[in-house]
Amino acid sequence: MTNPYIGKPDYQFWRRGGGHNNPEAFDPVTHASFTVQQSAPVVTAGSCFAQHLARHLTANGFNVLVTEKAHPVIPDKYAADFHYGMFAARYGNIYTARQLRQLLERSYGLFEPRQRAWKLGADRWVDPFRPQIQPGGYISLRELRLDQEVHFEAVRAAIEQMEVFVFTLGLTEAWVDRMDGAVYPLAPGVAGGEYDPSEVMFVNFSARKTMEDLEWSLNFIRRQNPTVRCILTVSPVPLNATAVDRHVWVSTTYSKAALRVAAEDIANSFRNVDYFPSYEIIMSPHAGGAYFEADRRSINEAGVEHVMRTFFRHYGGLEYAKSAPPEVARSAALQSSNEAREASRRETEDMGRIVQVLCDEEAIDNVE
Amino acid sequence: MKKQVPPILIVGQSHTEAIISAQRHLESPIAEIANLNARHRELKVAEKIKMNGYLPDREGRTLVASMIGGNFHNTFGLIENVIKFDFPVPGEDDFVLANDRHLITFELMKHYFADVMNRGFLRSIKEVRDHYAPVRFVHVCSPPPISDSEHIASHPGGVFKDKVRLGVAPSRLRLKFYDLHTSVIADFCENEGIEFLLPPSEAVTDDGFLVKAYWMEDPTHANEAYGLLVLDQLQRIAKS
Repeated sequence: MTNPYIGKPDYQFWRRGGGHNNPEAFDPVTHASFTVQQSAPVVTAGSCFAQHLARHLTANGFNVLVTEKAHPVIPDKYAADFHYGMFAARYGNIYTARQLRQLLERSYGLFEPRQRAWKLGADRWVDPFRPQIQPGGYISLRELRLDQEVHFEAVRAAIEQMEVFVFTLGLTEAWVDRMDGAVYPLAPGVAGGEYDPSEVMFVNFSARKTMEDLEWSLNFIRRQNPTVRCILTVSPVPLNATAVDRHVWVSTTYSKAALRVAAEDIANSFRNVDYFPSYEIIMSPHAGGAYFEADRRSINEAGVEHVMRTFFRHYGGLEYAKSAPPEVARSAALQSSNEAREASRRETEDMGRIVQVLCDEEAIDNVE
Repeated sequence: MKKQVPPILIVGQSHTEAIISAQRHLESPIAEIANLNARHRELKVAEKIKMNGYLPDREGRTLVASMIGGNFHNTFGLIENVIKFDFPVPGEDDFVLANDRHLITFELMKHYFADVMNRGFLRSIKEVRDHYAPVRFVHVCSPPPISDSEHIASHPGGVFKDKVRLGVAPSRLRLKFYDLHTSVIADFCENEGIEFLLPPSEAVTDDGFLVKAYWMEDPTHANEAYGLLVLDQLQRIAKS
């Protein structure tokens, strides 16, 4: 007797799929269609889980591209407080596929939302499309606009320079402007602006809509950068809140299911676009919920490490290591830009020493 | 018999030199001045404040004035950076970012300045205040910047002469750094209940720079005439 399962690999069978007795060995990745060279510029974007990916890629010596950098006179730790270096550019968390599409449209001048700024307190402004990027807000609309121009230029540079794009889908729920359809990462009123139901409305994107936005985005990116390879993931982090009148967990399962379907469809229909199962690693019965923090929402470091060592095994061609990153080859353009930044930092430190000699100012010294 | 000490004590660093020079023209000194940079430069001011032998006695004082930490802004604002930059400030409606300059947003610059200053020399000011408590304590604002970039370029002082090749920063940018520095100190003084003494009004131009009569042949410090004005301010405070 024969049947279509005979001779199939072990991973197609639950009993022999691995990880039952050793959850940390659970590895659901079966067909990586490409590998990521450590020197290849990688751009990450997506929901908050994407921040973990960027951090671990950097720690393991991958060339995580950052095109929007603070001026070198600002030490890294202060720049990080303003979200420099978290992603390639200061776009913050991109929760929905529509947000990704909109970022591309805005960066390339294809869409200008009518809402350019939200008021924050009496005399500050926030960018409605990255409302938490600038603690304290912008002092004027002009400053906001100038910073947006810097940001869009950095987004374009990232899109055009990257060789690998890792996008983590996070949400289907969003708030959009009723008049022009602009989608906001946070509802107005949460971190600036005011909630006015006559101006914004809630949408819960379907798998189909998510797929259309992803398809548009990847096609657009490929037009700017034809050889880019993409890895799609779905964030395992449950929704913090739902705008639908039902339990947040029910909304979470819908959202993740829709995102998972969209990612599957896109990965199946695009060349050099893979789906990476970080969602499955964290949510698997093998892990038994052990990868969640006490709040049952945040992913703990053990979970992130499981995802990353699986990623590196299949895409990085290396075993996971938390050691110091190896030197990676950088492009000439990046090298020269880094050299200028180093020179700038050296001059600033020199000036600090000179002022100290002159006046014994200790502030610079006390920073470190 | 105990030695009579001047009732005003000034504790500071390089900006005290203007006062020291000014007092040389007076019949008798109005203030005792402790320039914490005058000796043992290998030690930091923060260390000297905690050690014996650097801060004069409290006894007999009616007013202690701090002139600590007045040049931090010049670390960034005096000479152009290799990668030029600019930042807008509140109310600067005509701000234009030149093509060759990198934008730093105001809140980021302020975040950096305020944190570094609060973790640095502002702590020293507080420690000096506490050391002399309950004597009345004021902090003296640094003199405003010199507007003329040529003056700075031609009087760079020994320590800046190697840096002038990078160019003197535009006066507008130097003033913004000075104002930011001053506003952080003003906020600190308000939070700590410390009186904050602004520069004498006659020494400040309408647009916020140091009046030329008070320039020294130096890029960052004021002259003895300015020192006399500050001494006069302190005397008036001591009597009030």
